[in-house]
Amino acid sequence: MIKAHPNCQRVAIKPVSVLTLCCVMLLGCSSTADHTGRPTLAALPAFDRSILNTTPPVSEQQLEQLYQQILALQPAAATRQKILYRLSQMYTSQLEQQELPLAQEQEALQQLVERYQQLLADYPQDPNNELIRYQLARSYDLLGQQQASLQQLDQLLQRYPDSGFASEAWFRKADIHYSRGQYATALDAYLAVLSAGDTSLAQHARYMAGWSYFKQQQFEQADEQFLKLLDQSYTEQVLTQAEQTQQSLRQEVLHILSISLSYQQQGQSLQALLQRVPSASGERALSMVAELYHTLAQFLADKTLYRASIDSYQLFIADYPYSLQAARFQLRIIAHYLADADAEQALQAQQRYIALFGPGSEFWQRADRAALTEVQPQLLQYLDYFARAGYASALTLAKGERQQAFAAVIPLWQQMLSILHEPLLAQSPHNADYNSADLRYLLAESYAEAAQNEAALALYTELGFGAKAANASLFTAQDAAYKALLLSAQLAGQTATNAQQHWQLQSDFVRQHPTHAAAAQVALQQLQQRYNAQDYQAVLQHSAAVINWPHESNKHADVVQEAAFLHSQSELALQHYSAAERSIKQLLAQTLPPARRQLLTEQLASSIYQQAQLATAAAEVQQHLQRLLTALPDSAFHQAAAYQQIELVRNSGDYASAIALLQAFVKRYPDTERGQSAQALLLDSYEQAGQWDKAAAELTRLAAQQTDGAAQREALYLAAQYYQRSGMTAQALNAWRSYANRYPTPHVLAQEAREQLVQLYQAQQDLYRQNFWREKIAGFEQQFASEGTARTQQLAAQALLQLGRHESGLFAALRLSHPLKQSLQKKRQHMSSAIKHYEQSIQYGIAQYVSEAQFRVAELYQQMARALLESDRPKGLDALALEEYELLLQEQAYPFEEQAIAIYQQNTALTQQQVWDQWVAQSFARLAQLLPAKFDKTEAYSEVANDAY
Amino acid sequence: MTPIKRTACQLLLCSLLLAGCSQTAPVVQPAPPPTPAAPASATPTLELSAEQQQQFAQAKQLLMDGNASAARRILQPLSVALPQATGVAYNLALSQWHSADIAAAQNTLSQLLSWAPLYSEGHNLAGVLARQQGQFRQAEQHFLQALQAQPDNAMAHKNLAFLYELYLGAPLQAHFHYKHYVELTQDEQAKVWLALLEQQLAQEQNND
Repeated sequence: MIKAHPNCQRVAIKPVSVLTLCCVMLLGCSSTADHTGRPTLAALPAFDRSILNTTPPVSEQQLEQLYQQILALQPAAATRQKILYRLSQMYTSQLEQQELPLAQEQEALQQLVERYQQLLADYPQDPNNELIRYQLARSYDLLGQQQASLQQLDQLLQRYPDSGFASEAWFRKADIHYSRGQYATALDAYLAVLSAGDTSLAQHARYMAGWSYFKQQQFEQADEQFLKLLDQSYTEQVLTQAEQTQQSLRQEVLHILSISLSYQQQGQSLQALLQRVPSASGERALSMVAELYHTLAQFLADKTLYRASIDSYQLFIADYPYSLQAARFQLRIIAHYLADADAEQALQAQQRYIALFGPGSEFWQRADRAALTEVQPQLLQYLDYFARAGYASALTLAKGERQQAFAAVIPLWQQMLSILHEPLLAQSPHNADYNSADLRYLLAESYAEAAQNEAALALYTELGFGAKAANASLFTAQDAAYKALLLSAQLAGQTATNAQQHWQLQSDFVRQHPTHAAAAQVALQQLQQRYNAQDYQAVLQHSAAVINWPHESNKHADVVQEAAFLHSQSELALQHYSAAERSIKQLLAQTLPPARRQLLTEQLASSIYQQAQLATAAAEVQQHLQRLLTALPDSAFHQAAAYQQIELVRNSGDYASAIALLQAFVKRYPDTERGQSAQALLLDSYEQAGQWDKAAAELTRLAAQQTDGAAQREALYLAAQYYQRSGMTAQALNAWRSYANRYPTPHVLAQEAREQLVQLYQAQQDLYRQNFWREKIAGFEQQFASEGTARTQQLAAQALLQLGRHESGLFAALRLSHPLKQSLQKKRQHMSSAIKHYEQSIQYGIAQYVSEAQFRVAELYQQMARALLESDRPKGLDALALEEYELLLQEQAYPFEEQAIAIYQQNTALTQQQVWDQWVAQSFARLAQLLPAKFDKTEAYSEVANDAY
Repeated sequence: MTPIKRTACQLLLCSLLLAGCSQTAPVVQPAPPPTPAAPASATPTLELSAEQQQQFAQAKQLLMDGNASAARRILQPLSVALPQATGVAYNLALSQWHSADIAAAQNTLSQLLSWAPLYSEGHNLAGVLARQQGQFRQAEQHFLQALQAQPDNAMAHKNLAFLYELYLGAPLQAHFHYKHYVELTQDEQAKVWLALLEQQLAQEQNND
């Protein structure tokens, strides 16, 4: 076994190549490695012995003996040369396989060196000298003769630049220079290795090249070599499943790279390096980049360069915000601030964590389940802290600031809920740490405080009316529902849709939360809204639910009473008066405010009164009215009901009862419109009952009370009528006379009054007063001719005719006797007076009076003629004188007869106007006597029919 | 001489004078009466029972004796038994009229004329009753229908002359019918009436 150089660490070389051993030795002698943590070269690959000849089929001892025997035989030079070279390789192989004490090994090596040198000297052109020089350099190296080894390496590289040992030779040369602090020369040698393309040495060569740059303070170049090495090793690490040695090397490289970067601009230099040096395999793995930043940040932190450490992390976060590593780095930043007790920075970092990795961030959009699961706890923790803190702070603020503060916490609650409801995190155990229902409630509260009423309403509604909130600790569904209701009430007035939503919420609230303290009140509000909307049917339909509220805990007497009141009012509006009466009576049995009691009392009266109005049967009407009058004698409907009752009684013909009611009514309501009508009805009832005296007395009383002249006159007129009807002739005469004397107008009524006087006096056979009032009738008809009517003209014509008859009677009763002159004069006066009245009567053209008046005028003339002829003859006349006297009488009488004939004829001519009455007929009869040739004509007819058929 | 008698004499004298001047009298002749559309009597002759004949004869006698009420008592049931006996109905109407039951008489005649519209005597009697009731136009119609049914019904002409002269103020129409009546009857008194009327017409014409 070969022992290590005394100055070097003892290293076993059994399975590894000599070259490796050399490397170890070199490293062990590095003065700087101890300080910088230089890695060992144990990981370097061993020399490839395949380049040597294959193992002889016989044992080496047999072969050596054989070769020695051949040499002893003095073979040919060429053979000898081959055997010598062969033997050198056998000795080399034996030495490698033997485990000799150090001294023996040194001695053996020295012997090999001599053999190699001898061969080189004896056969300088032997093609195997490339190998011999390599082995010689290696042996010097093993013997610690570094300069001799370096010389052999230089010769090898000079003589055989394309040798298969060139890379290793350059590498050994570089190591020797490096160990001597000849970094520039070493760097060139390392770069030569890299240029040679020997992949087995490239990694270590690059490593050492980096160190070489580093030693020369060419940090950027060193960084580039280290980064390339890391890029390569990362790929190999992935491919080889991370061998320990590789990891160690990477750790070493990462460390030295961090050192290098720390000498520069730390994270910024790393960022520049990564941009400057592209990865040979394409895109550089993010994990590797993160590893670089992390290593650097950790290194800096270890060196208490915290700011630089954080900056490094932040640079990575800025460049790769969507990466999970970024989230982790941000947590490290937060941890740092917390460790440093820098609460403000820690909070800012936490907020930044939320911003960078919370819902809505690019990270959140890209993250897979694992990433989300990793960031969830911190996100929830930070969001919960900031939301609750903000919420608590907002509660302490005044209105203006308070609103803004609550608005600020809204997105925090929203993000929390978004995290908790993230489908990829549905199975996360952290979900159980947060009460989603409470969070939603707090969000709703925040909405409301921030005046985001629509959002608050929607969330309260969801919490209050949606699926039952499990394990909510901050609220109950009732609370949320009620808050939704309150918000909805605020918004209801803005739009019709809001109003509808509010209505629906009210309905849902009452249905889903009937035990809430305000549930009954809400139900009552709905009733009131229905009532205000005049949906009275709906009030009737839903009022029972409030009136018969099933929950004693929140049943309030005033609410129930108000519902009953609305119920009664709706019944009234719908004209359900019977039901309204019952409802109002129930209300009146309760304790009520005075004003409402008064209202309901009046409405009770109204409902009964309206039932009476709607009833069709008189008995039913009477029953309602009587009920009203008895039960509510002081109601505003009493007057109308009492009056209607009077009308009913009158219509039934029970005027005696009506009079009693009317008297009471007039007494109670003397100055009302109905009272005045009742007075008229009272009079009429007196009349209908035949109590004319009372009627007349009432009228007389009324007339005395009246200040209105017309009313007085009418009362007097009626009183006169009633006195006349009651048979109280004297009072009637007084009344008619008073009327006729006091009220010449209206003319018609005055004439009627005079006519009544005529008739009353006629009944009393008081001819004088009859004719007095007839004269009045005739006179006033002339005076008020313009106001005359057919009726007054008839009365006047009749009165004049009667006056004519009276004069005719006086005329007829006066016989012409001695002294003839005086009697004739009186008779002529009566005749003239009669004719005057007749003619005046005729002038009114009333047919029934015209024919009689004409007839009577003609008759007057006829009677005068006859009276003349039948007058007393003067006494003492002789026969001749008497004859003469009679002739004279005939001459006197003849004109009267002629006049009579003419007037009779005039009367008969009325037939041409289809007038035919007794006076016309009598005129024909008189003419038949006076002018028989023309008028004594009787129609002819067969006095009997002789045959039956 | 009373004035009335004197007037009558004057009228008679005038009528005689006027009669001598009849050729020149400016009398406007009205249109002739319409020709009857059917025979005067279209009622079929039916036989009466002996009792009925006796009753009918008894009623006629009572009527002629002025005992209208008794006649009515007989004729009333007879008219029911013989509903289309015009003579029975006519005599019943006479008995009712003479019993002062003019309305019943007019009703009987109305029924009679409804089923015997060409019964001239019936129309004439109906005209007489209508005139007495002052129903002058109705009377005129009945008289005209009597003449339509029987143009030579002198009584109808006479009655129409009276009606037009005394009640309707239509002397020209009266004159027409007087003339027919005189032609049919040669009634002397009627001639006087005609003369007086013509005198009146002439006087009226002169006054115009």
